Amino acid sequence: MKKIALIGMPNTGKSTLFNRISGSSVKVANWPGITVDLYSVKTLINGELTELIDLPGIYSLNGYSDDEIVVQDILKNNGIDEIFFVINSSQIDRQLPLAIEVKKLGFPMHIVANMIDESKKYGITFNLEKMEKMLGCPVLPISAKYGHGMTAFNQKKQTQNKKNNASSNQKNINSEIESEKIIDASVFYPPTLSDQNTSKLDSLFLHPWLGLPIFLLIIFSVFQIVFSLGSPLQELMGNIFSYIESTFIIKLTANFNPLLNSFLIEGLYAGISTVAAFVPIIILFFFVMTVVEDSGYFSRAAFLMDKTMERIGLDGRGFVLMLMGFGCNVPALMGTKIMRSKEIKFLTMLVIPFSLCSARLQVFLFMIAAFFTSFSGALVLFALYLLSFFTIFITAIIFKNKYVVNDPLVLELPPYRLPTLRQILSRGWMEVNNFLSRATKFIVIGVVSVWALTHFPAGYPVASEYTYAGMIGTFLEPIFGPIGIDPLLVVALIFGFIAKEILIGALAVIFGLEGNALGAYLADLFTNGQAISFMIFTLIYTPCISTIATIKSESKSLSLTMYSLIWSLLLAWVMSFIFYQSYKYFVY
Amino acid sequence: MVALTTLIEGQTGIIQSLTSNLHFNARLKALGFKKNSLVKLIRKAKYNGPFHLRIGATEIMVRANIAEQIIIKSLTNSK
Repeated sequence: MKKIALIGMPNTGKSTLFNRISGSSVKVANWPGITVDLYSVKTLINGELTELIDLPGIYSLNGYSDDEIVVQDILKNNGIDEIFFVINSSQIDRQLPLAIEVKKLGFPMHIVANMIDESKKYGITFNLEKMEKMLGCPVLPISAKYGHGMTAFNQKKQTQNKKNNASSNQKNINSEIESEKIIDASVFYPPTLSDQNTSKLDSLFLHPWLGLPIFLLIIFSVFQIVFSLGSPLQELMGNIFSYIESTFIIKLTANFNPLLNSFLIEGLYAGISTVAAFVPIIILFFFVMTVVEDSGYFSRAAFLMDKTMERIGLDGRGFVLMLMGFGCNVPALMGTKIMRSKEIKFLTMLVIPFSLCSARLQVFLFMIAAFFTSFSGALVLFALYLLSFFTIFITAIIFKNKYVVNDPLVLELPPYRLPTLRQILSRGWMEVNNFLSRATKFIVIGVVSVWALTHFPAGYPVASEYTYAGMIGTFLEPIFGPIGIDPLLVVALIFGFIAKEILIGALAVIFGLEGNALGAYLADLFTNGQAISFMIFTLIYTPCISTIATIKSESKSLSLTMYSLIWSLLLAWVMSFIFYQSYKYFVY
Repeated sequence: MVALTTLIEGQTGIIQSLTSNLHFNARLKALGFKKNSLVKLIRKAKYNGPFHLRIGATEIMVRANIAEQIIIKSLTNSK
């Protein structure tokens, strides 16, 4: 099968073009270098079945960044037959030298002058005939985002483009000089080149004093949109799943052996509904994220926060994602795709799980209501938020020497753009697909394991001290005793590994009480110090199986996943220990 | 010849040389930082934060430590 590769610098709209041609949903964003995995699709081009591959954006052919190495490798070893070289037509002057370098490799090539709508707005004009003649390959002006020029694009790419046998003569061309010659002869710039709207918006969004409050306001609104719409949808999803359970599944499994029945409903089905619960949040999150990214605002937010984050080895983008993590860690972790350097991406992935997400908030609200008055309760909650930031900073500082970023941060600040509905929808769809295909298995296995721990050996009350979970709780007593966490609460923490919001449900199962009665019973049983220690531990230890699954699938690194798991458990214990021992010392 | 960091917001300079390592010089070149190109400082973030630059049709943010390694010839104030 013929193989065509899309090559170009970051932020030239390659993925948007890929999306257009293939009709599949590939992530596109107004952010330099958005494609992380290689996306390829089989499609008919000129009546021939062709594999189209979207390669990551590169700045040069012989660079050392991860992306550049990937592209070099693919061009050398993967039998590429033809290249579509995509350029941002407003930036043709700096992108053409790379196109000429690539052409020297000898592949038949088309140059795709994308974002022609923007260059028109800037007043840049092209003499295409002359350019094609000087370059020796077809030049196709298009706007992949709006679909302009796609008909001409389809017709033109049918003209046979013969293998260009780069003569030794051609190979010796200095691409810089050659590019200048071509630009001088075929591109016409207006006397001043600036986008007034972008400058105006920047003077507001990047204002030395107003920039930060505006940023916080935007993030707050994003939060409001995602979670005020997301929570009812999540609830609806939950209701649908319990409806299916109560009307169909229970009847289907009624005659099964009770253990098998419990496995199917409380293990397998619970696992699948855990996965499903994330779907509305992920879709909504990426709808909004696409607007933030594609509009170009994300790069501005990174600009605003960069200095603060640089001190702890992260960058401005990490700050935005970390804040998103306060809603839900899972989509925030998926958002680290935008980071092209592995080190900064890994470091960001290590800190995001410490963001106090909405699931943990539910647990804290329940515990605080049971143990504290409204005034001291508010203080406790505020302290937990502070602790969340503190653990983020301390983790970054400790690990920044392990993940030293040697790819200095240079980010484009693209002009402000309005994303199309098509881009927004396809992004949400694709991210959910990604999550489902990669994380489902892992999450279901995790939920089933917790089910097994709390149900075996069979014949004892669920999650009682005689089950494996109870035995683990008792066994770990020497470890959890010094932080004031009772073996029964350890069993609840094991449940909390599935998802933090399950913690309360688990306590209900363990103590056989619900709601206010459960709260009152717990308040009787444990001291305030124990309650706070339990909340500190809950805040810091591994957020949930879905987070772990996402770290694993996004980083493709088992060691990073293990670091995240072990470090969070260790830090949780140390923080709870410091708190609980001082509490005992000062209060008693 | 001075470092880019000496520019005042709104001023333009002409790039003379890049003193970073080779790998990163190549990256900067690809972004348009070539000898004799004009570079305009649009704004600086507070507390020695990143620089917002315009070069040709591209706007870029670079950190101060990178801006220090870009050597320019300053033009007189050209707002």
